[in-house]
Amino acid sequence: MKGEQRMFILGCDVGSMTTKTVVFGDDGIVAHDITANNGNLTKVVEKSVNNVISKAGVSLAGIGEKAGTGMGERYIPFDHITESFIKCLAVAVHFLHPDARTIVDMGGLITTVISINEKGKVLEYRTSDKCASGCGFFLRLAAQALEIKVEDFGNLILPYDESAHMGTQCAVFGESEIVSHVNDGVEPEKIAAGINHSLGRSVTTMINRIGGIKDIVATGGVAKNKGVIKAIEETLGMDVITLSSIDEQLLGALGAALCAQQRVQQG
Amino acid sequence: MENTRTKKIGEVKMTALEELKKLPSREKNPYIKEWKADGRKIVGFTCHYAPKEIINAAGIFPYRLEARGTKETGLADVYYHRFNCTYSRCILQEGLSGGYEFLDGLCFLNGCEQIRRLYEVWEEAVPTTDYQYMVTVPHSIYDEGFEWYKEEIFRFKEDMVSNLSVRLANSDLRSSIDVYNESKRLLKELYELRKADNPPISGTEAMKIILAADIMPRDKYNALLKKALKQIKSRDGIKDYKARIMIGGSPLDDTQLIEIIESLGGIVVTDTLCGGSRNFQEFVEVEKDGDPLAAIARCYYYSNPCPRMLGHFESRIQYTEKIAKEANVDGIILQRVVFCDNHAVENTMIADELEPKGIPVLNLEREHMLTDVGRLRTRIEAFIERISRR
Amino acid sequence: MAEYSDRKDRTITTRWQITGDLAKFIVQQDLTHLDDWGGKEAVREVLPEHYQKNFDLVQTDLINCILEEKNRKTAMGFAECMGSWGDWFHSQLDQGKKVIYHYFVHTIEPMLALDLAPVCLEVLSGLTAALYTDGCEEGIDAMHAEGYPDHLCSSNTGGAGYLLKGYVPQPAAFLKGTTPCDPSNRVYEYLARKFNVPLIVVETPYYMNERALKYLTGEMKRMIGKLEKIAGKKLDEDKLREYVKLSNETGEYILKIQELRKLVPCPDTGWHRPADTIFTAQMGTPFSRDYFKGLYEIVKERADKGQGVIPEGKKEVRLAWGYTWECFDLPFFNWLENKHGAIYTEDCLTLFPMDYAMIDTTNMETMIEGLAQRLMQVPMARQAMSWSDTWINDFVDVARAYKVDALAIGGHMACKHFWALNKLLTDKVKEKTGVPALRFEMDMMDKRFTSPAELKRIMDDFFATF
Repeated sequence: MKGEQRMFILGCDVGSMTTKTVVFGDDGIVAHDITANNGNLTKVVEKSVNNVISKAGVSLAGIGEKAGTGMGERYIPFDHITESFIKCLAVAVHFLHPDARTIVDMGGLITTVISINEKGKVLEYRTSDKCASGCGFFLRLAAQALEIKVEDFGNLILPYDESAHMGTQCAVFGESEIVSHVNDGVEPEKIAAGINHSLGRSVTTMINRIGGIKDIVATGGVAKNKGVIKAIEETLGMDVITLSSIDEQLLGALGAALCAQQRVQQG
Repeated sequence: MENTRTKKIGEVKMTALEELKKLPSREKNPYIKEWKADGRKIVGFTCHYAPKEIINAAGIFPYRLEARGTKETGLADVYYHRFNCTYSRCILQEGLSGGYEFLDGLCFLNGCEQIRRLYEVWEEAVPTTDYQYMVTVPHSIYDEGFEWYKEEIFRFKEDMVSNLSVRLANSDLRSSIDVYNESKRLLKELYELRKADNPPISGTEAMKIILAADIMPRDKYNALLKKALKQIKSRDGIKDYKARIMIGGSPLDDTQLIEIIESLGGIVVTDTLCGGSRNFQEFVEVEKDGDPLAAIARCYYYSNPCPRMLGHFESRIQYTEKIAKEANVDGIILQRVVFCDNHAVENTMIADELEPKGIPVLNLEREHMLTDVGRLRTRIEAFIERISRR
Repeated sequence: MAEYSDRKDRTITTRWQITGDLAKFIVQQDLTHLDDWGGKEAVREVLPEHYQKNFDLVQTDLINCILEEKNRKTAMGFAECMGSWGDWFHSQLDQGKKVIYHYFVHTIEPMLALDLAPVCLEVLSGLTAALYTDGCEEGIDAMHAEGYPDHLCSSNTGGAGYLLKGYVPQPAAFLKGTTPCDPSNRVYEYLARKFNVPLIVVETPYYMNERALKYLTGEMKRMIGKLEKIAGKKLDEDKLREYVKLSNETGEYILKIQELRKLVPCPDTGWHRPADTIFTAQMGTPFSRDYFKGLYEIVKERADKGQGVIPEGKKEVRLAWGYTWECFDLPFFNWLENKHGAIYTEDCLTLFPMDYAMIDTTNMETMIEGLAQRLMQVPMARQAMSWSDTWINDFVDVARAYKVDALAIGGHMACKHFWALNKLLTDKVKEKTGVPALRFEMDMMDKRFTSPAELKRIMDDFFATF
């Protein structure tokens, strides 16, 4: 409110493909920004932070606490608290959806499955192998090969048997497989649908490794792909929720801000 | 194309050759259905060191585990990992998705790193297989190792007979040996035909015939193969090929790769595969008052040039050269499944020794499910061009 | 100034010797961190010239790690024993003794008694990975350059590459137990062929019962027969006894240290634990005995005072390493203690089998049987080439006896048999003891697969949620 001292917290998640920042206040997220990681990461972070504080109508000096997370967190150029990405996801998802018990974060390079309890505490987690075949990076490669926008992939939903079969285990061989399908005259839409199924199955395997308990909440850039979500639901036999109140990519940054807020409240 | 016949065996409308070539695996296999309907038992096995004659002698149908047509490994990947080869993962996938419900038992072996741990995972996660046994094979070939292996298959025999409540007498063993020796004779004959300048049968067809051996009752297989050989002999030879090729490496349980080779002008005329030529290099010889089990053990243990055996590369390279020369090949294609350590090193060692001797070798890496066909085609095509005799 | 060999085929072992002397020199100086004297460059300038080049090769973090008060004595002990081994090995070479490259599990007492010069191929990889910034990557890459794939085990390919490059002496033979795996078997097969020397194979059975012991005892006798041919003499019982007694003495110290690690707080530091494998592979030598004796004294002293190894005020988190760890970053274990209070209880690669440690030295028969028993039970034989319940039960026992809070499992990328078991192992240990596991992929020797920074991030995440 005007005249009152408001406490703002900046949460910054430097991922493999994008940097996400939020300004979080008493009423929730005030502003957010998502910037692609093109070029020098420190500069990308600076740009994203400048964007978000500008949207929020605050200055960096006016931010009470700053927290950072994600694989590129060390490139954040200002003083901040470092928070574990796994913890950030757990805290953020629990905050927005207290019934969540399994979180499936599908990022640029890594998929993480986290099991949490009713208090949002992490019980167990698994991250994907050192392999991009189940992730955003592969979707980007596929989009380029098929000349379809990544954002449109999610609309290309076909039954498994009508989709092109993508059997490969590897993103590099996967690209070669796409090219083989294209050369065989398979429609790009069928190939994209096949890729959605393939990603969905890979993610389901990860969920099964620790056991999915509902409510299952999907986060991360790939969670925007409804085709992948549907494929997971079909293979897993359980519903997968995406949170409508927030962009799927922002959970890490929100979680960082919430963790910082907790620290402040605990003194 | 998968055979969806529902006819009983005996009312064959297909020729013997067609039947062998078209024999489907697992749930669509008519022999399995018939066998189970008769209340008889089927025991699977995971590797060539499994003593098939013994299983067969107990009136049990030995079925070599395969994963033909498996497209993905989502269930298997929960237990196994991406560093485990797709061959082992596809087999596990079939087990986990019910593809092997028909098995009454499984004979595992410590054939290789990838497959040997299937024993524990299968025990944990595939409840339909009531009986499991592991036969352990020494990793080198020498007399004391033979004694160990012989003891292992003796123990397996006793255990299987007891657990599956079957009967097995020495006379049954002798009869079974005769059946399998007959197979070897017939398969040797098949491979002889392939040595011709104009082979009467393609590698794809031959491979289908070979693969059928381990997924149907052996005596019936022999009967069909005998007839099929007559048919094959009556055919015209294949003339329009560019290069004669030998294939070796990781186990093949379908013909996709060979089909690719042959679509590009190659003809696969022989192999050093465990399911192929290694099967019939020696016969089981039992002396008049001899021990048939010992004779079986001797044959399996001493005559299988498998790269898992440490310290025997010299005999394996000699074997490779011999088989290649006998079939007058122009080049050798050695393939391996990604992460197969045994064949990765073996294939490289073979290539390093044979290329300088003027025997061209192509080393290929693949997944069990052949998906990135484009890449394989490019490499095989270039190799065939290189070795082409026309 | 010490005389160091400039022979190409002593490149690796001479490098170790210099590093050992350098370590002793630095630890004796008055500094607790290189920054006390202005950083690595500044320290380099004040070093004697013959140490400078070697100093450039050594990991900076490792130097700082051994300068910490809690690590200094162990580091001195390590450097001294490593140096003594180097001197002994070079003197063996000077006397024309035949070099036998053997796998990690082998008990080397018969080779020592036959006046052969045994070298563990995996130690060539491991120690170089541990000490130097570039690790043993030159060796690994040399094997890759020959066309051998990166999914072979870097513990074998590092040393194999050094053989190819001529940085270590020519082999008279290779000795390989068939445990633990195919990839290791294949590398030895390749090397024996490449160098055209005998490959002595010792089959380690899949079982661990009387039948298996009888078989393995037979294998040991056959191995000895082949080694005798190479050595040109018969194995003398008294000489064998001499080495087996040393080995037993070493085993006693190891067992005592293992017992002490069960205490809370744990009185042993973590940085040297992967490096301990260098001396477990040397059991039978006086250097191995001296190393573990010295280590025992250090650990006992702390234990008697009830001292731990983590900073004041931190809560001790007791980690066990269920399988492998990174050899290329020993300071990582020190960092775990200092940052997270996480101590190192046991691991699968140095867990000495309590019940089978001592060999009966009455006569040749009892000694050979005892060596066979030891071979069957040591790490990389016991858990790797047998049924999974052995591994699971061992870790259930470790979790209980050492009051373990969490199991860390750095799954080596080449270990197919481990990865096939990974879920069963971790699920069952958790089911029986409640201990959670952290699994991650890495390469034991090659830091390019999962970097030290990435490993720290993985552990930070784990401890944040633990």
